[in-house]
Amino acid sequence: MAELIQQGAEAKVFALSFYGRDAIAKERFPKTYRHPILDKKLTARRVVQEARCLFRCQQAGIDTPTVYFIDTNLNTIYMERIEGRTVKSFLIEHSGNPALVDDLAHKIGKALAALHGINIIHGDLTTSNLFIRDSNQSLVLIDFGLSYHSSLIEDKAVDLYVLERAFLSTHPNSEVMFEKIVQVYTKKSRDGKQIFAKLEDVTVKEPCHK
Amino acid sequence: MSLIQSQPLELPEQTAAVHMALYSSVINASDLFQRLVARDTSLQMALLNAETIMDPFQIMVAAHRAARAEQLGQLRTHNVHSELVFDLSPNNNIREALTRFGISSGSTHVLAVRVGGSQEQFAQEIAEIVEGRQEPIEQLSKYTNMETVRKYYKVPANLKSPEDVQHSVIGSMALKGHS
Ligand SMILES: Nc1ncnc2c1ncn2[C@@H]1O[C@H](COP(=O)(O)OP(=O)(O)O)[C@@H](O)[C@H]1O
Repeated sequence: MAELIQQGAEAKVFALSFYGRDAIAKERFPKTYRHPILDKKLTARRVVQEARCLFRCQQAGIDTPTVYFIDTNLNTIYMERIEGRTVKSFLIEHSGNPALVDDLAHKIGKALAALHGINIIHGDLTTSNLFIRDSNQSLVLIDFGLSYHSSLIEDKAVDLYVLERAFLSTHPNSEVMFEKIVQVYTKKSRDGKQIFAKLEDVTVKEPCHK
Repeated sequence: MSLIQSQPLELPEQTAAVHMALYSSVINASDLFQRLVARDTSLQMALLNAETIMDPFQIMVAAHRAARAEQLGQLRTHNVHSELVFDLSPNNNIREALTRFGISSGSTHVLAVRVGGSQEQFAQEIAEIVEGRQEPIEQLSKYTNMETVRKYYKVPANLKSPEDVQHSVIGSMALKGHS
């Protein structure tokens, strides 16, 4: 009944039904090269941390999949399956439509400001981890597998930087869109200006780190 | 035709079903409450305050967690039925969970839930146990007290639509003991 939809290095993702609702089961497995007992603990902790971040976003009104059940024994999170499409596929289809792109940039900037407003760093912002719900066109954040709690300006700036890299490498000519995202983000964030300055910093410094 | 709704558990190697019967105008709640307090073993079911339940999914989520704990030998309470009541609660206070989500002396809307066994057997037993008017489970939302739900689950004020509230409730249950 469960259909494997992604086999990653650290997790398997299944599509299935959970008591009549479309669901995702995300099962983490230990990285085999580490210490087995330590590994088991770390894996379990990551699973709970992912679920916790999802829940804290939801409570703050940020659209994220609802967590249905955490099976600590199987390191599996059962959660709502978002009926929709990725921002990635949306942009591939609609990149030529400025009004649609602008509206989307606005939604992304707003959602990220809200996310950082509760001091959650996503850790893996890409256009595949942003969904658009079919039912109401709401922007949904998924995959909190690398998420953590932090109020540091630097962490927030790096989060945005990761998204910028994802944008520029996946979507040609998306500079204007990313600028719009940052503009909305800066306006809506408590420490928007400082984070923006830090982002500029990170961006400029980056080539030296290569 | 029975008004009881039955749904199988979706646990590996577990084929038991969850049966739910909804009652309004219950007149023997006080009696039932006394029997629960006295751990009357003939009451093999969870008797719930229907006002705290938004829909059957909420029950299935609690039943799933309770049955899973039983399967792993990790029950925190006496049996799968008290565990189900406990698992409806967003916190780890067992006594509070039972008083809030379980039937009390003054309850008039009662949801009876049995994990395991046949629907026929449950139908027969429940008819002798609860004195009230049996209703189709679809009527459940009519008896939900949203204020109570918001309070018990500490639903943030910014979440307003019934859908958002329901998601918050389910999330709170899932994160119980993990946050
Ligand atoms: N809640 C969800 N709703 C819809 N699709 C999802 C959901 N969670 C994951 N997916 C799909 O599965 C893929 C992998 O899930 P993800 O959480 O990103 O796992 P990983 O951390 O291994 O990358 C996602 O890119 C997405 O396509």
